[in-house]
Amino acid sequence: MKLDNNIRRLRFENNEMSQEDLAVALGVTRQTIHSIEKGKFIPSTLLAMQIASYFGKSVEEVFSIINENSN
Amino acid sequence: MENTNSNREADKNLRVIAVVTLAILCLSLLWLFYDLYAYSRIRAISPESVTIVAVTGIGFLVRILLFLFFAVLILRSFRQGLKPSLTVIISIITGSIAIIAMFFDFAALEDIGTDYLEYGYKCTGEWIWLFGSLLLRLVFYTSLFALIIRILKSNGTLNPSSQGLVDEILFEVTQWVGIISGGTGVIFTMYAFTVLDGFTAKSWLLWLLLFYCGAIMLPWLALTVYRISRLALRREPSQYDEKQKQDMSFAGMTAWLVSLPLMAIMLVFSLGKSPSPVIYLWFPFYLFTTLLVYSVVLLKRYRKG
Repeated sequence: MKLDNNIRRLRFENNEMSQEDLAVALGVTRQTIHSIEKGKFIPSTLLAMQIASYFGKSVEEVFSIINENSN
Repeated sequence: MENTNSNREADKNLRVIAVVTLAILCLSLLWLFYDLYAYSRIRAISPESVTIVAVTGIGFLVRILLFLFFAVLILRSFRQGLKPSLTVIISIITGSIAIIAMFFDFAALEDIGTDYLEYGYKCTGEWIWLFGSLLLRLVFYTSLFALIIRILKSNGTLNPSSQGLVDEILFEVTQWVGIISGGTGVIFTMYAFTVLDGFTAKSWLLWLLLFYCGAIMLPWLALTVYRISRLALRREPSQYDEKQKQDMSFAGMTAWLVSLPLMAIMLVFSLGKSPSPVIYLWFPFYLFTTLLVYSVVLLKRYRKG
């Protein structure tokens, strides 16, 4: 199972916001946003909700689970 | 408006520090060339060697002053949004090594003063070290010069960035310095083990070795104390974010796991041996090993995601 996300798309829809700007808005480092976007780091529930809330979306609209076993 | 004014003020202060650092750098560069001349004169056992060594000694004070201003300049630049370019990274790495090397320069000159000048030993290792150290300083001074020019030419365009970004840069720089200090410390302690094993334990020698270990640890320690003091004074809005904390936990666990077999090997090697000053070096060796592993793993995980 893997956690997919639309953060990159949402950033671009939000005036082509940079990772750095989003990181500052959420009080985390740019590297954290980068890792979440790449799916290398799974954020805590709190951070996931903060990201969703920042873009005015629900958590499910930002994050989704990919089941790698199901073809 | 208030922010703009304070940014202008911070930029002005940074430029003043840059100019002062440039002046000390010029002085240090002159001293570097003097040291080159001095070493060649001492090597030729010139009659005025004692005076030459005294002038070289004053150069140590100039170097300490330069390192202090370099530390202030680099930290202030990061606060003003300086991004870690190749020049910045080279100046931090060579600067950290140059700080450590200063203590070894002092030791090499001490050895030369007695063994070479008084007893007529060759002191080949000491001479290689001293000339190598001059080259290292030249690289450091060149990169620092490029950095200062970049700051002065920026004309307020370094763009004061968010606290978050500053944290990030300081976080990465601390790991780089940790790698340098840890790596140098591991090499130093292992070298001491090899060379001094079998010597009779003498307290002055032990204290000297511990002093050098402290000097090697100094750059990393200074950055850590700076970071802790900023947190204590609440000058930063938050501590580490959740990914940093996770990376730190993983790096800490790895460092601990690696240290266990290493220290077991140390124990096996020291069993049954007569007490020598190097026996006590297990502690700095342990510190340097864990610092090196911790910094490497943390930086790798942090950058790779």
